[in-house]
Amino acid sequence: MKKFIASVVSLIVVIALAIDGYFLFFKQKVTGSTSQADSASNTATSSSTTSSSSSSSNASGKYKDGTYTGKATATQWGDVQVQAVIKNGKLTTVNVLEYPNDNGHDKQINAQALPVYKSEAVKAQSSKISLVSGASETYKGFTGSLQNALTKAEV
Amino acid sequence: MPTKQYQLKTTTVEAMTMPFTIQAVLVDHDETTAENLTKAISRTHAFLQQIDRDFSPFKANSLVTLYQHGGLKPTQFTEQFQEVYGLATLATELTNGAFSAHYNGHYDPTGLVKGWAIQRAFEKYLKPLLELDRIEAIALNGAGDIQMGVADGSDYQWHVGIEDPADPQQLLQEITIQTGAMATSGFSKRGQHIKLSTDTPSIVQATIIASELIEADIMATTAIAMGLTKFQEFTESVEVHGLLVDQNANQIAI
Repeated sequence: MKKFIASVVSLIVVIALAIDGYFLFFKQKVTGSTSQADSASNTATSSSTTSSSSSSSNASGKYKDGTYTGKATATQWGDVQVQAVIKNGKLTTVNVLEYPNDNGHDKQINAQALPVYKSEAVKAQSSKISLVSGASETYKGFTGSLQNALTKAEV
Repeated sequence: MPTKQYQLKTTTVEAMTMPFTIQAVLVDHDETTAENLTKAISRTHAFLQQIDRDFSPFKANSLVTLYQHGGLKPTQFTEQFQEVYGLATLATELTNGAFSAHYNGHYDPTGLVKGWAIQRAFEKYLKPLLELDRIEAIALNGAGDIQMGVADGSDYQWHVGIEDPADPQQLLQEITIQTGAMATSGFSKRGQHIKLSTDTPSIVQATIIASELIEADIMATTAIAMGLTKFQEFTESVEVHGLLVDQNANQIAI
């Protein structure tokens, strides 16, 4: 009887491990699936039929209709892998597969160490500043910017 | 111990119709270092231009434009395209939809691409320079979004000024940082796909500090998109640091 209980217990343990393993390694979340073809107008679809015959011959039959999965990219929030659906030689839909960070069953926004920094009000003439962070983005605007002035002053 | 004599060398290149400033802090001058630096800068420049060709929604043949029109070929489904697409999807989820890579129903990752490109260019071409004896620190500033670093064991500090949104010739704060990233988003400037919400005080400028620019950039955009109340709620569950400026010119440290 003892032996029987022992084997039942070990069987339960094995099953639990298998389930855990399943969740750990195989469970993926498919999100962010968008279909460009759906949102694009029908004219685009019909015109692409003609061009697709030539483009599929260009691709020398390497890309047949189907689903292709790219390499996984590591990000600070977990790995992402992108999947393409090919129809008539064209990429129509992109799916995003996510692999949440190790222990969490959900991803966390911040697993990163915050850089050490100090912040203070700018002193009247701080000559030490060499970089400027701001929201001005045009190259034209840059010629009159502080970053440019600092750069010029340095020469 | 006498303090080291640092020499700052700044180069500005243009890509994506924006200025990119590369700053290197040198301990000493020598030809090999100068050569390595020049090479890294031109690689960085070429990389940024390639990203612009592939990701600009304003270029008829960019991968993004082709994808928008359903004309992206399987061979053009590049690793970079995949990475940006994946990051954009994650960013949208993490920010509860405040950060969006879809505009007018089209995929448009413009809000993510610059920060991503700067971080990747920095990691690929500039950071390795820190292994050289004579290079103490390096930074890449893409129109206000910065990824910066110092050599192992270096005591060099980057002094970064945060622009005053009311007067870009003035600075609000000075941040000292060795290794990390800083991104600033604002309302007044280009590429605003963001609509002001009227029920919450608006954030005129958001500066976020993080280890990596991809994150800092996403969070800075999110702050502007959410507005003050919602963003402050959001930061209760998410660790975000930086400086916000509201429409009444109040500075709010987070």
